[in-house]
Amino acid sequence: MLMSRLLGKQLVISVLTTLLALITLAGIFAPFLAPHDPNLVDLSHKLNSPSLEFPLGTDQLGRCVLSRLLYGTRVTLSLTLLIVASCVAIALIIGSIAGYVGGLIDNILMRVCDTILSFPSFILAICLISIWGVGWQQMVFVLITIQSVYYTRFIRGLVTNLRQQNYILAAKVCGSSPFLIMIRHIIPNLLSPLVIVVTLEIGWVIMDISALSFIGLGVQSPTPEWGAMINEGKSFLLSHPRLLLAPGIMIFCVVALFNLLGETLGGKKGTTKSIRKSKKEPVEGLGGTQ
Amino acid sequence: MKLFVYVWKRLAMMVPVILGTTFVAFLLLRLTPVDPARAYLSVSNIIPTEETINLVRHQLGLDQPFWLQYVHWLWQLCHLNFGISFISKIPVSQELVVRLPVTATLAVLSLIIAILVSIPLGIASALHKNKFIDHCCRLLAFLGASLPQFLLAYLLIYFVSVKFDLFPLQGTETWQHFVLPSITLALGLIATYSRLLRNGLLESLEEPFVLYAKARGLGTVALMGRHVLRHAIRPVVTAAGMNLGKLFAGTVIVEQIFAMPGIGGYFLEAVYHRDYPVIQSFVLIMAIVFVLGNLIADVVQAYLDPRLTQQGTRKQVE
Amino acid sequence: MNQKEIVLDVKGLDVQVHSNQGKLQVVQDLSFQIESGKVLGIVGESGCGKSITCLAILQLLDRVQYVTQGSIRLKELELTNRTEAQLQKIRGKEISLILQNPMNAFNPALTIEKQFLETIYAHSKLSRKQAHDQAVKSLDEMNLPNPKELLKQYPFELSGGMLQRVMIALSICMKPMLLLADEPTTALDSVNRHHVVEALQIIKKQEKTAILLVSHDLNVIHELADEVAVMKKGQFVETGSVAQLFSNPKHEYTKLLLDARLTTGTRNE
Ligand SMILES: Nc1ncnc2c1ncn2[C@@H]1O[C@H](COP(=O)(O)OP(=O)(O)OP(=O)(O)O)[C@@H](O)[C@H]1O
Ligand SMILES: [Mg+2]
Repeated sequence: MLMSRLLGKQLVISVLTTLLALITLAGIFAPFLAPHDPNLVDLSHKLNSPSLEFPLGTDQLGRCVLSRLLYGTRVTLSLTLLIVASCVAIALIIGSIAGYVGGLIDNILMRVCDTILSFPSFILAICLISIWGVGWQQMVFVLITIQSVYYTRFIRGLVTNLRQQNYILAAKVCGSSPFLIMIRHIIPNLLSPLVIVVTLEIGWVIMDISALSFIGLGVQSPTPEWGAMINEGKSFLLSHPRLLLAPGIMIFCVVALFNLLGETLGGKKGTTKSIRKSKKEPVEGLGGTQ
Repeated sequence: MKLFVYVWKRLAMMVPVILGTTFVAFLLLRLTPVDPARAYLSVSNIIPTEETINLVRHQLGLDQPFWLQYVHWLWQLCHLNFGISFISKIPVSQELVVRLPVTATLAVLSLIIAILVSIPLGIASALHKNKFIDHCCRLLAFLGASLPQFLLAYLLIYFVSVKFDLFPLQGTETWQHFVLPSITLALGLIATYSRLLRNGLLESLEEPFVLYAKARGLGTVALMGRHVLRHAIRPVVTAAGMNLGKLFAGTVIVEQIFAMPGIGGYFLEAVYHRDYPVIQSFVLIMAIVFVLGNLIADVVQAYLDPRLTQQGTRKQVE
Repeated sequence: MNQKEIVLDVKGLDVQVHSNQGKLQVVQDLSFQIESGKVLGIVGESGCGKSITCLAILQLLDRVQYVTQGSIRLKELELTNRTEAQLQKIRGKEISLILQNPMNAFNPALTIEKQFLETIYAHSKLSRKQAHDQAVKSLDEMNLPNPKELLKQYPFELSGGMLQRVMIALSICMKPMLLLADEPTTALDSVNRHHVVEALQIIKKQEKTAILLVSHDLNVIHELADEVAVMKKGQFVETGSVAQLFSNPKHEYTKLLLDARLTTGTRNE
């Protein structure tokens, strides 16, 4: 917030987006950028210090840390995209129907959502994973389940609000079909608050993915994922801290960039906090730096 | 007295929530493709044949209808019998007696640290709004939202324990062993609470009753303590109540890192091997802790603001 | 009785607000005096600066946001250059304040008794018992029924009218020289308004306290005030005794106010 006041909002936004775009591109083009196969075990090179051949050194199995990091970006970002996109899709359908139709369905649905929301998301995630089993598919499924509840609540709130606006009432009076009203008037108006919220939530999704993978409930070992990499490197904290630091810095940077972007985009009070607020869980740190 | 009635009412309301949660967990567990009997056999290193499966099913009561299994489980719970772990074949309750205190100490300790640190921090940043200390708190809040707990734990270990050799690394033998883990858990909370308190303080300074208290010439201590802080701390109390459950979940990570024998590690082991009795007990404990945290927060809340308990009991003196 | 003393003497009071829209002069060159036992009524439209004047006298305006100039003397004491600690001893003891909305002026989390006691403790060394007795006594003086029961109640358990009278009782509990009543009747219905006027009349009859009565309600002013000042946009446009002002208003704005009162008055009757 302070930063955007000093430098101008537009500039901050473009810098942040550029950085994030670079990281994403690095993930997409990992096969071309990575100097080595991320899973190539070569015990003759284990725990090498950074060199020209291995810019960030190698891990305990002789795998190139930089390559694993690049592929890790790929894994994390694609999982995040999968989760967020599914959540938005589910939420757009259920949330806008509930918000648009209102009445009993809406009431029941929101009661269910509120009950789920009253539990902290991380507990819910590990409990559900413990029930459904360990693995990245399960993790994705669980995170989609939990997150889409938040999004549904959020979109439902927006739609309920929009529904009462005059121009939509006017469109209704003119006899536009609900479907058309949805596509023409409601969905376009949802976009900008949704973008802000998605940006902020991405940070949490990435943290959840890495935390779950770190404790071994998510992405499993040979796959290069940042949280899992930290878990693998933990016994080398004292001798080779870079094995933890490298993925750690990546997680921190990506999450921080998304959070900063979300806050700068949000700007005005209220929008940025709305989703976390609907979790009833005061996560002030998220929107609180405005 | 009214508070007492209120607590009873709230306690009574806990029961359906816990029953509901455990029921859903129980249901979901039975709906998964993995058969508990097979899970039992695989951790016991017995080859699953038609015969052994049927035998185990009968032993574990899995051949009974679902609702009977649930009622049976509840009935056993009433006798403090949480079942027997598939892996170790030791009663879950025996493990819990040893492990629960570790986790509880850790969670409660970090909550206390968080509250004790964030109160002065919140007050300072409210008093020096938009000054240096306020910006520091803002930065802390931002870090708290962007730095995963496990990363923080390793940073602390590396810099505090290894570089300066201040606190012991792993285990639970002395109080020093609890310092780093609780700081890890507390730091995120401190970020949240100090911001909450700061905003609450700035809001309550605008309250008319604070103006009136000033106009009555109250001293700074009475004014700040009895009127401003008491009002401003309420969102923090709610947050702390909700976070108790979250802290228990957070210990799953922190216990792993600091090698503490709490329920977190026990649970993770159970998850990998689908040790149903342990998973069920963990879900139950989480539900209880979560509901209990909210209950405590609500009771403190009701003490801070008697309107919550006494609503609708307006007495007419005239 | 004849040796009337000037309790409050305000000379050239100016208040400026520094808001994000820039500087704003909200009170301009106010001068007035109140003698003990007398009531000065201030009338004026909403937003003309009446509350700001009251707060300026108590020195309760935030010094960063508001710039105050002029002199405010309480008997011999100049208030404008006191330290915060000195002011704390004066507020609530020598000068007390009655606010417009009693429902949010009391702290909802504390019983009436606690709020009485903390005020008494702040200004005297009375024991708990003595302080309690004093609270009961001043509630009694204001003709409040059942003071002992009342003290045990929380503010939200009482009606607005009761609370307003409790606030008056609390404000005279320390026997102040000056009472600032900022629209004490605005939030009340007519029965409670009557009670409050009665309560203020009791204080006036004791002839010890000077009262600054801010009100929209010209009936209340008529019943209580000795002198009236008409305020508009931070300035006094007309001052004079009640009789004079009501029978023979000079300023256009005063006439307007009186007219408005006549029309509403006839409608009520
Ligand atoms: N912090 C501030 N920022 C901007 N303007 C302010 C501020 N404080 C007071 N004012 C202005 O000062 C003027 C006087 O306010 P004041 O509260 O004294 O009015 P009043 O006469 O008591 O009105 P009412 O009858 O509604 O109580 C108002 O017009 C208000 O807009
Ligand atoms: Mg006013």
